[in-house]
Amino acid sequence: MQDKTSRVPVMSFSVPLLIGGLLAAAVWMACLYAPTEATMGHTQRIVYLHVPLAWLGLLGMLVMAVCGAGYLIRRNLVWDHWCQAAGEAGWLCSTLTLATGSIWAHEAWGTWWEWDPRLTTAFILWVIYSGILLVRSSQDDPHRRARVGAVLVILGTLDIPLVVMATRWFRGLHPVSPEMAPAMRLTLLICVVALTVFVAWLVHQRRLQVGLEQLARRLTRQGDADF
Amino acid sequence: MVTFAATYALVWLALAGYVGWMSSRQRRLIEQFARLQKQFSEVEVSESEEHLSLRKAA
Repeated sequence: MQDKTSRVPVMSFSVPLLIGGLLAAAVWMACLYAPTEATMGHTQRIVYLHVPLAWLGLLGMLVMAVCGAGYLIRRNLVWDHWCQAAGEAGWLCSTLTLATGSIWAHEAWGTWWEWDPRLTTAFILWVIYSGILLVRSSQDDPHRRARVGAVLVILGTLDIPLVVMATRWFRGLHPVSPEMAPAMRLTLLICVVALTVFVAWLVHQRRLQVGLEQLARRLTRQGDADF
Repeated sequence: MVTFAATYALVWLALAGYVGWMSSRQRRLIEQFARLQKQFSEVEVSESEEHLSLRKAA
């Protein structure tokens, strides 16, 4: 009989391959399949990255809030590992949203930054992410870190409705939901799906890593105390 | 065209950077677990030798 541990896990290859294929399809659609927009030309294609990244920035904060609430109810650190992983990925997506948006603004409006309501609330979201990650990294005790992080992230979610509704509630430069050709809409949808799957996989991998890092720290401390 | 290409390069480089950072942490983690395994197995050996000498003495 074949030893179970010697088998090559199919999942470990198939999932990255599937995600790689999805990402390749998304890039192909964004660069070649989608028609070139008449006014902005190729620069308009930035939207196929900007929108998925902005969505993932918001989703990251929501996932953190759910996991933070999960920790506060269950007091299980696995929830906090998800929180940390989602926070890092969300911060990265939020940073890239601001960067791609700024490049877009330079091409479309002739300025790198404008204190428009959507841009301002998105910047506040980035500040909240950065603050939470900084506060979390300053806490040594894992339960204290999880508690403080959970409370902060639940407060941080108050910014999400402001980011989403900023273009409807306040007047600004940012477009609300511009009309798009069907091919452009399909490309945007594929890019959102591909990047969401990719980032979800990254968060899952990082979550496992955070758990192992914590176990290693605990064993090191135990080893130092015992020997 | 240049702006669009530079933006795509920036985003993919940033995502690849995050994956690279995760990989380097994974390598460090594997080394740390290897050290811990060695540390714990050394203690196990010394404890079993001690146990054997106590049994002989008895």
